[in-house]
Amino acid sequence: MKVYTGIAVSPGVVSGPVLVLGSDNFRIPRKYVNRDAIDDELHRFHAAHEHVCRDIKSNEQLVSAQLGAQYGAIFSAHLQMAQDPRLIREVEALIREQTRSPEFAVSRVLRSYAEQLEKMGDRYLSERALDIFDLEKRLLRQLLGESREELRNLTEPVIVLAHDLTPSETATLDPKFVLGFATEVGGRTSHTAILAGALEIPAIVGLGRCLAGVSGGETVILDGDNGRVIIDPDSETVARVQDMQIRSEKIRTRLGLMEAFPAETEDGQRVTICGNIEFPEEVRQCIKRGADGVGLYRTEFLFLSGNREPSESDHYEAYCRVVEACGDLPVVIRTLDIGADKVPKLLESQFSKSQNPMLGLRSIRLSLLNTPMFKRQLRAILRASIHGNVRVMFPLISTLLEFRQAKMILMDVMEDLEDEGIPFQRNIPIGMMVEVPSAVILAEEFAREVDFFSIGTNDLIQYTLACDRSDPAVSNLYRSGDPSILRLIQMVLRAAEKHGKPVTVCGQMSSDPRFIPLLLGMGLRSLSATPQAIPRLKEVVRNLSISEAVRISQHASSLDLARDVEHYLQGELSRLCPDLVDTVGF
Amino acid sequence: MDAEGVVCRKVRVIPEDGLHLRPLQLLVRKALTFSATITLTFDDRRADVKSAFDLMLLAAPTGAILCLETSGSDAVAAADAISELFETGFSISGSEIR
Repeated sequence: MKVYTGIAVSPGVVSGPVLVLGSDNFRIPRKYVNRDAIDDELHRFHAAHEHVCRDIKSNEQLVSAQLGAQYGAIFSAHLQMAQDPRLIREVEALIREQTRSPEFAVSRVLRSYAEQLEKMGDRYLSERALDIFDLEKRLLRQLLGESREELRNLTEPVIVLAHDLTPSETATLDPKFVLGFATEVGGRTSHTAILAGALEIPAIVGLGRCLAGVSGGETVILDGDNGRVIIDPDSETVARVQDMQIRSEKIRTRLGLMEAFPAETEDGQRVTICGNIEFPEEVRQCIKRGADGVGLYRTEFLFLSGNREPSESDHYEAYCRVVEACGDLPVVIRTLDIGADKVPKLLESQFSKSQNPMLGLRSIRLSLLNTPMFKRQLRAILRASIHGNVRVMFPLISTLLEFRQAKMILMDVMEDLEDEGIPFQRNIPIGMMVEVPSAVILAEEFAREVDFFSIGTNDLIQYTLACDRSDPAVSNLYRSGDPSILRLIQMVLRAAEKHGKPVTVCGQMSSDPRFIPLLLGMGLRSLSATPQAIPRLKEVVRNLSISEAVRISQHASSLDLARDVEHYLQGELSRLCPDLVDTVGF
Repeated sequence: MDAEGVVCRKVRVIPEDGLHLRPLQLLVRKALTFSATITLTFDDRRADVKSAFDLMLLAAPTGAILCLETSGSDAVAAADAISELFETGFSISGSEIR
């Protein structure tokens, strides 16, 4: 049994035989052609070229029809590249003047573009090098008459393990036979990853070298929720996964019906359930599952995916896509929350190399020190605010002063925009994350100044119990059910209620169905969770009454140990929604 | 327009990211609707506006002043259309994938 870990880009757990696709470096059989054959070779190039353009067009139509025009646009850009007069001219010249073979000419010309783009050190343009390689592969495949037949003539379901998959290969994957895929290379923001999410095929990228040890046909478990690929799992693991899949399949079918229903308790209390997202593309998954909006839009990806700082228009375009897709539904945009665990290269110099990075310069602290960067983000949020229902939220606030400073900078930016005559929503709600115990202790004071709270349980647990959950030696202390955490949440809810301010819980706790009765019983009416969890959460809400929730929360709050709380909640959930229990906590 | 029917204009790159993918895609799309020859020159580098690769490799940053030249029967209309794209900053709709 071998386990590889990569970046989870599309959730779901699947198992099946593996199909290995190599690094797919086409061997170019000959560099030169006979001078007499030049016309034939030119003709061969044009035929291949036409074929490729047709393919791209049909990709575009297929993808636009199935996933929407914005995904199809990836291929209209490919088509523009394929039909580029410079490309055609240079390839023709190499064939005609230097008697190069069409294969060699195509590869030579396109690779020179890719190389020049990569050298420019510009994020967008260097990412386009991948699109150029896609075009190269298409043309070579056509010229050499080779294709990844393996992918087109599938007769049984497989899990694809490849060095890389191009966007076009990903778009044409048949979800009937391709249960999931994992690639050695690739990042979170590659077009391949985005398309996998939109197609809802479980996928992992950036596994690192792993193909060498796999020959094909082995059984593989692909865990797209946790970014793990298990090759040759032992029988125990297989049995566990299969069992779980059968059950979760049944439940998924039923939960699919949930999407149309509101999250309303048996006694008619409406609960707001929003989605947490990181990429604009994920909005689709929220809306599809009947979310009430985006309760947490993490903006870190803008900073993590490139080697230059995002510009105002990078921010603005991303926010607009989310806001416009949500219509009137609220979108809570959280300003940069970069922790020491994911320092982007471009900000590396600003992070102190302290022994205790989680207690160091991160998140709002970093934004307050780096005002120009912070203002750029705030400007974009404000500009986007006129397109829908936008709220802004500051992360990791630990003192009142920090909140006031952040708000002051926001006001400055508003003034600037006003001077420039740029429209924005003046009364945009301004909230904060509650994730540091000091913020809970002063919740009453904060409640006077904020428009809303959002409790980030992950960091709150970590800071309250002083444990790093990624450190296996102490991770047993990290428990959502710890009585101290329940008490803190209760304190925030009381303070907010007193001042009439809304509270949402985001973080993993609110995606875990076990905690829903407890949170509702405490008085919470708004949750934000990973989009995939929304149907499950709705199911719990719809099987519950507020009086029952109050009883559950009262009993849970009387228990002394995290273990007892979680055990009790598990029992209550299995009573309320028996078949949800087995899929929790896998 | 001079005697040979060549139209010359100066245009400025407004988008914050320079001539990036989306502006570039719009430029090519627009250019292809004219029969005129359309070029942009920056720093001694000349790009055919009908070629996405040419434009990418022109690597024109924000604020750069480019020299727009068009020639052919619809040279004036082409120059108008292309300079309009620059002037409006390739007005961002925010709904496309880069």
